[in-house]
Amino acid sequence: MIGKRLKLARAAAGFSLRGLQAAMGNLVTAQAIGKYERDESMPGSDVLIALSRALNVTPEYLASDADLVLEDVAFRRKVVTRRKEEARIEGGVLHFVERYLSVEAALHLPSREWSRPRGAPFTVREAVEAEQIAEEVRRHWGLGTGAIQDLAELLEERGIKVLALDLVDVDGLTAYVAHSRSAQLSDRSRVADSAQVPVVVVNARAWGERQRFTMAHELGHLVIQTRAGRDAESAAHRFAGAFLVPAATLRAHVGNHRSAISRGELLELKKVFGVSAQALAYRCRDLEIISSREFRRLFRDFSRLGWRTPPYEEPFAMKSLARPRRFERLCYRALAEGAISETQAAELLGLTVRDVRARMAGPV
Amino acid sequence: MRAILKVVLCDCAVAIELRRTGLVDLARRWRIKLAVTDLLFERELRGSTTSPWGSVNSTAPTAYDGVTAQNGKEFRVERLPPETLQRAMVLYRQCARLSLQDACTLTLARQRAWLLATMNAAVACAATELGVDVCDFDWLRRELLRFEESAARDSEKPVSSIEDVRDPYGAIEHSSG
Repeated sequence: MIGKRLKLARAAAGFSLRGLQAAMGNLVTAQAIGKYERDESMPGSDVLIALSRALNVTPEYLASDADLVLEDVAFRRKVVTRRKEEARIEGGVLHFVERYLSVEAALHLPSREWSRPRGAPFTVREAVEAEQIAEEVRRHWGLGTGAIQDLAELLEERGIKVLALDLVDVDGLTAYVAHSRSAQLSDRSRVADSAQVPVVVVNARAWGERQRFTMAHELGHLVIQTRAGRDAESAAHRFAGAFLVPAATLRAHVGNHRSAISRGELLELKKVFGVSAQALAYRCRDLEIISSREFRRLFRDFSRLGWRTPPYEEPFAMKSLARPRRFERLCYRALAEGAISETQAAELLGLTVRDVRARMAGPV
Repeated sequence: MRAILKVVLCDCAVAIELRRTGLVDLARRWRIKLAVTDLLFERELRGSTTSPWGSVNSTAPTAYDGVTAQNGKEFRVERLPPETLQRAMVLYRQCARLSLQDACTLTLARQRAWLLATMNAAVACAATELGVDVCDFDWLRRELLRFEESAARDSEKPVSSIEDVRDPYGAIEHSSG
C-alpha cells in the first residue's frame, strides 16, 4: 500500500535496504522493508513514523496514492547536478503539486488550465526573436507595458504553479505534472486528471529579484521552443529580460542611446522593474542602449563590489518568495469553510495545528 | 482498575484545553482513559513537524504547552497495528478533507468503539458519517463536572452517572470496583 512511495523516497534518500534499516535504528529488518516496498505487508504506525523520519518525508507522503509524474523537466543549473539531488527536487515538486491539487479538490476548484498564449509554444531561430514572444505574452495576458509588481501571483493567476524549494546548484526549473497513464485515482487525487499542470520552481534561498528573473526565464521555457541545435537558455534569458523590462518602457526611462550609465541609475531602475542591476545592464546592452564596452565596464564594477558571487547581494535586495501564497490562501480558505480539518491544513502547510491557529487568528 | 470511558483525542486543541482547565487529573480520578495516536503525538505533541523533502516551515516548539513532559501519565499514546493503519489509509485516500492523523484517529475509534473527542467540525462531521461517537471539549468538561457534583451529592459511585452517555459500540465500560 505504501510500496511505490517508499521505494521512491528511499531512492531519493540514497539508502540501500540495509542502510534504511540502520537509519531507523534497526526497528525493522531490511527484509521487512523490502516487503513493504513490494506491498506484501504493511507496517504499523510506529514503523511508518520511523520510515518517514529516516527518509525525511512526511507520513502523508508515504500514505498517498496520487500517481503523479513529472514531464518535460528542465533544470536551470549552475553546475552539473547529481542525479540524487534531481530526484530529491522532483520528489519535492510532486509532493507539493499533490497537496496543491488536494486543497483545490477540497474546495471544488477546477485545477486551472494554464492561460497559454494562442500559438504557444512559439518556435524561435534566434534568441532575439524572444522579444516579440514576450510582447505577445504580455498582450495575451493584458499586461500593458508597465512593470510587473507581483510576478509569482501573476503566474499563479494564469494557472502556473509556483514553488520555492531549497535548491543546491540549481537556480530553478520548469516541468509539467500529469497523472501517470496507469493511475487509479482516489477522491483525494482525482483533481486535475485532464491536463498537465505547469510548475515553475525557484530557489528559496535566492534574493527576490533573482527569483523573479528565474520565474520569467522558466515562463520563457514554457512558451518558447528552439530548433535543434539552438540555445534554448539564451532565448529564455532574452524572453525574461523582455518580459520584465519591456523595451519601450526601458527606453522611455533611460533614452535610446547612452554613452554611459551609472550604477546609481541602474539601482533606481531596479526599484522600478524589480530586476537586478546586472539584469538591467544586460537589457541595456541587448537593446543597444549602451555599448559592449560600457557593459564590460559595468560588470567589472559589479565584480569588484562582489555582486556576482554568492550570495549575489546587491543594494535594495528584494525579499525572497518564502512559500507559494495562493496555495497558502487556499488552505486557509478551505479550513475557514470547513472543507478540510485543522490537522489537514497543518499537514498541507507543513505546520503544527498551533501555528495554523495563530496564522488564522492573525496579529492581535 | 479498568477505565470506565475511553476517549481518543483527535486534535491537540482538546488536549490543551483539558490540561489548561485542570480536567486531566479529574479524568484520571474518574478512570477516563484519554488516548492519542502516535502520529498525533509525533506531529503535534513532540513538535517534530518535518516538511517533505527536508524543508521545515514550522515554528513549532519542541513541546506543546508542556503536554509532552507529562505524556504517558496524562495521555496514552496508541500505536496503530498494520491492519488498522491500512484501513486508515483507505479512509485518508477517500476523504480529501481529512488528514492522515484524522483518518487514523477515526479508524482507531471506530475499531475499538471508543469515543472520539475533537473540536473540529470537519472531523466531527466525518465521524458522524462513519457512525463513530463523537464529543467536543465542552461535552467532556460537562460530564466530568457532573461526575464530581454527583459524587459530592450522594457519594455514589460514578458508574451510574454516566450511563446516559453510553454509545452503541460500548465505549463506556463499567467499573469493576
